[in-house]
Amino acid sequence: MREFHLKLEEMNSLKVPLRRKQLGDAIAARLLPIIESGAFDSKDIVLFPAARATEISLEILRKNGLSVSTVVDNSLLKQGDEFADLTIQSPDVLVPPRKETIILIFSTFAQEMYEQVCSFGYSEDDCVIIHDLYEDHLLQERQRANDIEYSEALMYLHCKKYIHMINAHRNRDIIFFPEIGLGDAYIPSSYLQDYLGKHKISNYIIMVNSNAQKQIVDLFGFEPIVIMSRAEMLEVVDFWGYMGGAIFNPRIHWLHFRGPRYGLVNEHNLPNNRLTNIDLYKLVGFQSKIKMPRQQMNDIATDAYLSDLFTAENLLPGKTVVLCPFANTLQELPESFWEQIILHLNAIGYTVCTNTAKNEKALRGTVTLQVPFEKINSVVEYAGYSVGVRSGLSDVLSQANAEKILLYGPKSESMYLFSSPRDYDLYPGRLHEFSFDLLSENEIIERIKIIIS
Amino acid sequence: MNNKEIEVLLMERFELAEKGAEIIERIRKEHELTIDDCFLVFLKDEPECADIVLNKLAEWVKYREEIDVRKINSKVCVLTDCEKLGSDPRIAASGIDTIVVAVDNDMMFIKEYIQLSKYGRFVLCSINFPKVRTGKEIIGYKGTTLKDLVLCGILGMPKPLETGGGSI
Repeated sequence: MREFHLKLEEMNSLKVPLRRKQLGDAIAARLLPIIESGAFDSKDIVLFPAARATEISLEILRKNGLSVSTVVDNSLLKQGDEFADLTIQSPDVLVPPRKETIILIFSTFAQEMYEQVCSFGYSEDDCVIIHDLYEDHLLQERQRANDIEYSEALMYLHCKKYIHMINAHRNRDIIFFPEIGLGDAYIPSSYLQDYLGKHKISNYIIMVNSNAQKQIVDLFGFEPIVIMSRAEMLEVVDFWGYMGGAIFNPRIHWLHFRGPRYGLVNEHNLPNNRLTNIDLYKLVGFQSKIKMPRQQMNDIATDAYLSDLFTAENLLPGKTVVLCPFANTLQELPESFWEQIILHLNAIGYTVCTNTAKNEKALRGTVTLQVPFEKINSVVEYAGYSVGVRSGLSDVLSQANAEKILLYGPKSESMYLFSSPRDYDLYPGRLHEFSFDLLSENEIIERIKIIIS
Repeated sequence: MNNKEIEVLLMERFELAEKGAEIIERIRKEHELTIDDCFLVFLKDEPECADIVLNKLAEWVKYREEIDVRKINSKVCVLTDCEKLGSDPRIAASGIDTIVVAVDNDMMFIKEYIQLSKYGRFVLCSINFPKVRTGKEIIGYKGTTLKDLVLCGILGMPKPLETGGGSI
């Protein structure tokens, strides 16, 4: 057997992209001395380009009392988009040269961008140039992709992980729920019973990413469930996919709408706008073109529990609105929006509560609830209404027989089109969806007032 | 298959990929290509897929330039195992001037290298290879055509968004 000499630590450090915290620290280390030198004082600050590093720079500059007036980018696809509270513009807005301006350029291609602004008439004194650490990292990865020895060592490592995993779960089909969201466990769980039956799978193990996901899968009655990191799942499936997948026993089942690494289709790469995440779950994950029966998650809230909870919190059955304002992946909505909703609901005699988890703080003027997953649908049904942002919890609530209002924050149009509970095969109650990309905040508030009146 | 057999199989695949890497390195040297330059790979087994790409090639080349915010200005090299595809006039019309026709089993080795290197700078015009690509299953579903799939899944071309909203 050949030997692979690359150190494990070295490979792992290259594989993991710099996390935001690490990147933030690295940028602060570069930027703070420049801020302290006074280079930005009393200047009109321009950021170039609109990227992750400049977004973090913007936060650092603002924390230090400096204001940024403009962000520019050469990408036609980015121009016109929001960048924090600024609008990304073409670098052409810097022509003719502005007075008292300093341009912060933060990119691997800082030299090219510097030359571009010099061609506009700016000088060295008008620019602060930082070579992007993150881009350095990407460059290193690009070079690595061309290094066959590195690729082999990496694949060998993934092979070892695969072997380790199958040895630990011999003779069992291995079912991966590879993504980290709550919905990424809820949706495949709701179709799993049918899938297991069709594929005659009785001896299996389910791999999830987190405790929260484990709770969800458990509530569908599946076991055993093991927590495995997404990174490890990707490594195992990387090897499995490379070797052709199906040749191996035990079988691996990758139950997500994004296929493993060679996939042609995902939410960013859709052949047409008619395809939804549920379609892809079925086609890519469950490999089924036909309608699949969906199973409901168990809910164990008793009448006594609901009655006691509502009495203890002074909530009115059938006239309470459960607010779910928190989301991990999509942008949350401003507090001012929620304040207007709460004012309206209180004025017309509804009681209002916020469903929270761990360190989340309830919205002002609402009752704090911390309802476990196994009771949340009953609580919302007993309350009568829910208003929340699109999140994993909204997937779970798709089975609640209540009046549900689902909000898609700014820049989530594709999510609104692709990933909505309206496409699920089972949605008791009424679902109302509003996108901040399509309607103004006031229009959405007015529509909510009509629904809950 | 036991653990040892799995590892032996992996080593065999590595040997094929290494040959592929050597071929690609040779092509890069011969045609003065850098690691940022891109290979557009047409397979003789999938002429329909190639034809769709060829019809859109000029547009795709222009699109690449537009989204090249880093201004790498990387070149595109057409790589194919089919002479007929290699001499297709649509390639020259798109402005691509580097065409390599792979001989004998070279494409098999190159495909192995492409898989091992996780596609890297390769755009592989195939919906069948590798097997786990999960593209074919989508054709015909909700009116999805091969062309739709090739344009978005392989070429990454943008499509217009439809919007809507309301209650259910």
